[in-house]
Amino acid sequence: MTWLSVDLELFKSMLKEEWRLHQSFIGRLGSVMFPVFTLVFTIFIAFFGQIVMRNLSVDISIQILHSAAFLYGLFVGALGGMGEQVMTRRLGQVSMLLQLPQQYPISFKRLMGLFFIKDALFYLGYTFLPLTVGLLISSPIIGVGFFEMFMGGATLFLTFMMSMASSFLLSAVYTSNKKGGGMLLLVVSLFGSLVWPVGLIPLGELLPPLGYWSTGNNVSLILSFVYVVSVSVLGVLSIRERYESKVHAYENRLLRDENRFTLIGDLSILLSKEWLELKRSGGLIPVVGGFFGLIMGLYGLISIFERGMGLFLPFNVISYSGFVGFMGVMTYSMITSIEPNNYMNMLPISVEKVVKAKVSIYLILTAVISTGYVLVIGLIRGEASLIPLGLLTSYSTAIYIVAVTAYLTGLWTNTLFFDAKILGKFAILVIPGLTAIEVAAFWIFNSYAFTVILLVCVLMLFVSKPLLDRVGKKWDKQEFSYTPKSGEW
Amino acid sequence: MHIICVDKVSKSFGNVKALREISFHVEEGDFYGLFGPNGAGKTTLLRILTGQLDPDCGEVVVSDVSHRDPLELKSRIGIVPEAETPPTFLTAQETLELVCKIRGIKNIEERIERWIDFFGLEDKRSTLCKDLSKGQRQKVMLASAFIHEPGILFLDEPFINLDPIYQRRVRDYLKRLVEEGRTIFMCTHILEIAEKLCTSVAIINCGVIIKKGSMYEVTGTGALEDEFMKLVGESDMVIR
Repeated sequence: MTWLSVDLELFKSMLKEEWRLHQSFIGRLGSVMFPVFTLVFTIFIAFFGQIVMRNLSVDISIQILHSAAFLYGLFVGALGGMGEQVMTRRLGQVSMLLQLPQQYPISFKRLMGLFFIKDALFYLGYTFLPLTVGLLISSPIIGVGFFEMFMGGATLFLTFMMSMASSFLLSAVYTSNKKGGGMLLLVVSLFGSLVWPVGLIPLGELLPPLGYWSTGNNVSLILSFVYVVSVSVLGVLSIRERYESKVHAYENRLLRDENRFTLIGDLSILLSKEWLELKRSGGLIPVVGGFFGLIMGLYGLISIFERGMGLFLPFNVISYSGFVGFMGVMTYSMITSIEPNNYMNMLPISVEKVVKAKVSIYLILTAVISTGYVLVIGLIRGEASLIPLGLLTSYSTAIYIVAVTAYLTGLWTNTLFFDAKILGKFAILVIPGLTAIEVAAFWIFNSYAFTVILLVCVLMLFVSKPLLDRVGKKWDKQEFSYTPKSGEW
Repeated sequence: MHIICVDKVSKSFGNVKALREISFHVEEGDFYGLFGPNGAGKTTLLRILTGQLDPDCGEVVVSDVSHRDPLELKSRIGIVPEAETPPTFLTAQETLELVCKIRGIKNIEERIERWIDFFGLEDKRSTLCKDLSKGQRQKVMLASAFIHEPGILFLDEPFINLDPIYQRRVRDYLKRLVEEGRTIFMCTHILEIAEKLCTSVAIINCGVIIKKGSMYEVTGTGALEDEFMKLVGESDMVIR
């Protein structure tokens, strides 16, 4: 076989692998429907966006879309860091084609290069092509030309590729050389801060595909393409061929840390285990940071609507508090994904206890942040009198929503939330209460609204206990090593 | 006295029948070996016997506890599963501490020292399990199963990844347990070791037990490996 035909075979196999990986997460139907959903959603947004967001200028819309494509690319491009995980077998039982260099005479750089191209093409076909088709279909509906719509899809993809290539290079350098990668990240962050929040450089100058919309200059698109190719080649060249996991000695802290959780009773040893796993796996910062980021993102989004777009939303501290609990779903999901619990199969311990330990650690981690968040927002907005009810709302929604999540998904939240039936049940159990709180919060100084919020909070707390108690009945027959398949439930 | 009773147990995974109406019993103090080719149903049977998996039908009683009470069942036995590994982000010592706490063992420090010493893990006690070699992880798994000194041990490929020194050490320990009247149920492909250890055996293929009895009843004067080859070959023709 020639060099090129080997690459072609590998490339085809990688595409199949990516497709099957998606199917294992969201099922065959979900995988097929995702591009269709993207297409329909694009038409929907294009059509209703102009009605709902009358105050939103075209410039801001384009900026928001390109910023979203940029963030998406950053997330996907972090695959440069996968090298270390793959080569030191930190991906657990998942075996991927990327592991081939361990046994076969093929370089890791070459494989990662193919992997990068595969990812770029996959996301082009899976997301940006349906998005562009959606834009073209909605073109006559909203009265924007076909060419502009096509260029919209193209510049969004170019933006995605620019950030994907940058993120790939950064993660590859960081994985090979922590200090060098850290310095590079610092430089990029400082440069980025000149765009926001300093505002010295317009975003369009940093992102040529976005700049195209103000200058109409095709050179910016050619420059973007050159940037993508050169940065991704640099990324591939930065990939190391060998990775070694560093072995450290750790202080044996399980029993000592157990003392911190004695208040939780017979779950204390499991909480100590969860705590150590979070810290040692490097999961603590993403879990806490993710939750903090989400609730700060909510604050930022509302601020953009209120100040940036001049839209008045009758939000107050109670409205924020309701959402704080809701955001915790992601945090609980991350906690359940840190480490498989298969080892527990050999011990006389129930799934219920392990779930309750994870719920407890989630509540401990998020309680401090959500308390601070509600206090600060209450004070900033001059709504100190609403803080006690805000705290009650935040605690009760957090407890209720995590109880619903734990009941519906047990230890397999990340996978089971891809199941439409489970997600539907979750929506039925969560949306009415949350909507009642959010709507009542708009008229918070009305005594009826106050009573409604109080009642919903008490009801949520009241229902949470039996829900958590039923976790055992629902999940105790399941092995810890169980891997749910989408659609099975 | 029957310490393990299995009565007409069946289990399917989708269209695949992993076990078909299996019945047998194990006497207290037996060293019982279960052998079969890959995919014969050994691990499925072991998971059912140890309360990890429910059968579709049939009854399992281990040490007077039904499979319907898996927590009580697991509290009376020790398990070494074939594929699992100790918790990634706990050290070897912490893993044993976790087992002791969950099993309600009192003299934790003493027990842990005994098994750390037995398996020569002194230098590795503070190493995360993810950084241990496969053999060292297997030692932690074995120590986790032995540490509460249960009356029955269920072992799935217990010697895998162990060096010859520790294979012998574990073998001697298991023999001593049986001499003391405890029961061992073991699945392995290493028939030479099994032949030296087991007092009773069963051979399983395609979810059916094709022969069972004392070692002598099954092998006669021949070797276990020869008998295994013959029985599995014959049953393949009949079952498939």
